[in-house]
Amino acid sequence: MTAVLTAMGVSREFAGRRVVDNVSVSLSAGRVTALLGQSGCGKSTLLRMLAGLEPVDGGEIRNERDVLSSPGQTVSPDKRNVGLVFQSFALFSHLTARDNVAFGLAHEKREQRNRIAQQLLADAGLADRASAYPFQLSGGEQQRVAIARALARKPSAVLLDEPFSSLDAGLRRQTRQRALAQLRQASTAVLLVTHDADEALSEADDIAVMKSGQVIDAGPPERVYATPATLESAQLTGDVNQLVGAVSGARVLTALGELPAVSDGYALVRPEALLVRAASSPGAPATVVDRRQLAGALEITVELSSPGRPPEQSALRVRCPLNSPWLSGQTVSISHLNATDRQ
Amino acid sequence: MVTKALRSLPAWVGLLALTPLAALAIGALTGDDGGATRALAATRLIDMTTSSMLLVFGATLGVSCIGAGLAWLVCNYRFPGRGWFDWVLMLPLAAPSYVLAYAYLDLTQAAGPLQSALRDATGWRVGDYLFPEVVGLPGAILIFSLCLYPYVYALARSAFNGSGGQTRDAARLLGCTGAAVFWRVGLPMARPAVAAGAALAAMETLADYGAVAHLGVSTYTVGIMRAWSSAGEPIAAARLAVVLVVICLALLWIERAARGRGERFADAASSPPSLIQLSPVRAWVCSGLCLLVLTLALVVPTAYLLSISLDAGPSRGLTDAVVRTLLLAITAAVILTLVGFGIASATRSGSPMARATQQLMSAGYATPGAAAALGILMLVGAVSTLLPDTSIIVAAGPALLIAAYQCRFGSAAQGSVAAALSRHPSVLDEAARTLGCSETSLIGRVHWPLARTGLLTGALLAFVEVVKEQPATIILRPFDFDTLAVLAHGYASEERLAQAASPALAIVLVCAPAMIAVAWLTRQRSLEASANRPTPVGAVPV
Repeated sequence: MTAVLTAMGVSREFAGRRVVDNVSVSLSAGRVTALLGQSGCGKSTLLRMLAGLEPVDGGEIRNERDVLSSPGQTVSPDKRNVGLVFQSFALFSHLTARDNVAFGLAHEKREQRNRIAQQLLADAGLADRASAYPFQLSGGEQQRVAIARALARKPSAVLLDEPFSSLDAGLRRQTRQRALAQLRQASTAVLLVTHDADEALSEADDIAVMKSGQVIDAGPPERVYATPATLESAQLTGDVNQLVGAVSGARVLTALGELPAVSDGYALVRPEALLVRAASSPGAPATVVDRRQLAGALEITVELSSPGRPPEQSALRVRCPLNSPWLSGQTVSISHLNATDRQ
Repeated sequence: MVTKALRSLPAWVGLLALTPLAALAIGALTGDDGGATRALAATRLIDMTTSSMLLVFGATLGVSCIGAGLAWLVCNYRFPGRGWFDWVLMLPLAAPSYVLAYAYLDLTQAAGPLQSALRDATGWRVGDYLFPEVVGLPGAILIFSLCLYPYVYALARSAFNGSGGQTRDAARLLGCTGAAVFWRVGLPMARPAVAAGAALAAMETLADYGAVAHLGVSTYTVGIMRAWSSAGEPIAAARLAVVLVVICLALLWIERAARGRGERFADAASSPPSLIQLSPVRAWVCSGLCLLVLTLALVVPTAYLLSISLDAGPSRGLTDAVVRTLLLAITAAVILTLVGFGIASATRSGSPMARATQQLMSAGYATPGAAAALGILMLVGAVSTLLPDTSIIVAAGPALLIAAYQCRFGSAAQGSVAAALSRHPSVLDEAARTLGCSETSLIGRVHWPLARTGLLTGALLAFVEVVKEQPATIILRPFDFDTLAVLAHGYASEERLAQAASPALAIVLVCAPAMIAVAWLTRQRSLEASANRPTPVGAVPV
């Protein structure tokens, strides 16, 4: 698969502080890559570097043919053929939806410009809103116009800077799926910058997890979620239990059996990878200490009956079906769905 | 390369327009006046300083009381005509202070219509009674309070509307009565805005020449003009001007610092306070107060000058003066606004030179017209020694006037454009760049349309200021190039009010539509900002 936009070991410093540190990421046509990280981790700076809005202090950014950014040299944003959709959408308030979409087509004749813009709006389900001004559009409509505008120049890559985060939760999922489907259909390489793990895991073909300016984990969502490279990567992609034990090679011998070890020497277990059964069943004995209702699941906290271990190392969060009977104080048996039985 | 040079041209023009200030300072510091300054210091300097300080103190107090009081009424109470007064109370800015001074002095002096009517009615003779004539320091304080209060009104109104509307509602719910809410919550929160407005009014007061000269108050500006024209002592005039500029820069610093503090008080999430329904009597009292100020500041002087003009007929040279004034003011407004746009656009694009020019232009704004004009004369004097033929300088007369206006009002025009641009987030520029806009096309395709209300406001403000400006125009106008302000001053200084009335009235009539447009544009913007319609997520303010 050909990479249409690649960052190789790029870095950026502000006032002596390295906000992007030796990051490599590659975007391929028709694939969505999610850049996941908390606020201030450098993901938006990386996106701005890819767009040509920030220079690079180290490394380089290139497309299929040319170097676009290297220290001391930056191809300006208008010449990179990279689209960018902003968190605030950045629609021009003095232009209608159609004129916003047609903005980047200045080289085309007026009729052609309007035809392309109208078609893109129609593809986004906004054919009847072409003459509306941004303030007359709903948040979801504005977001679709912003994506149509970015697509109008047929960019090789589109960078999405948390474009769904300002939408209501109900609207977000629907708008996101529709927008990404439209981008995939256009065979565009997409970088989705987000701090929402669910968004990254559910929509991306690849994930890069960023922390303190560095990519700490990267790969397909299933792999990053199931076997995160580090504790931080695991925490950024969802809830996780940390289990300690004797390390043996690449594995850790825990109360729940032998589990793969991360680089820090723990085993990491997602709450839904644990099974709670009656105390008489095989598994590690534990006591239920808390019970919380979540949307679509029940989360219980159990304390492993492992004498001598501090509570933070013996408390586990477990996700079970809503109708599970477990109550606080009850003794249960805990096992891992994929653990090798204790030797 | 050429594009970059063209982009930085407005910043160069802005900087060039400030060179008279440097020339003024150099002239004042190095020139030889043959002891004239020492003589001035020994005779009139203390008097000038005292008069100027007392005038500034009185006028500042007056504009603060009137401006903040009216803004409080308009922002908090429901009364007949409130929506109309909201913007009409800005209109007195259309009448320059010297126009009010001409009208009120003539109206209230012993030979004027009021005292004559009193004597006719009572049979008294002059000296038998006390009558408050609008003259001297108290008269000047009244005139400046009436005509400059809109500076405080505008800023206080934004502060009352924009900062803590809910806070004042909360104060009311906690048992504060109307007056206590004003003193305990409203005024303390709006104090920086009031201080900023008062500092602007103080700067205008110090810069004025026509009104104080007519009312017989010996301020610094009067001293400068007399030293330059009557005594023929340009160096002494320049030294006085430098002192005046330093005082005005201090006031500007106060204004900027106060605004900075005001921004900390501003609560972007707060909505304007809910309006309080008053009893019919109190509501009409509020309307009456607003109407009284408007009547005194605009209606009475305009109506009086109109009645005199109708009796005396148009003064000689009026038509030519109207045409010249319009040509000069429109040309200056267009140039100032275009330069301002260039600087604002380049600043937004990150040009350090444009940003520096923008900061320095504030110093120009603080420079009284008389000082700017003297600076230009000194610059011209220095340049003319290098030229083989000085006729080119004579021919450059109107251009020198425009240069003085750029120095004095360039910041006002630029500020309007910059304010309009700053209401739009800079991500719009980045969006345009990723959509194929080059740095140059960004100016025409994004900055220009986004700044259009600011361009219009800036041009209108520059137009009004140029029409009203008196001392710089008097000093720099080419021979036989009388504008309305110059014509009015000429007649008024000869105590020929009947002839001064028609050009003075013409100034108000020319400026009023422009000020109405400015007030309307400002109101539209604030209405849009506080529109009740729910702002869609991510919507960019129009």
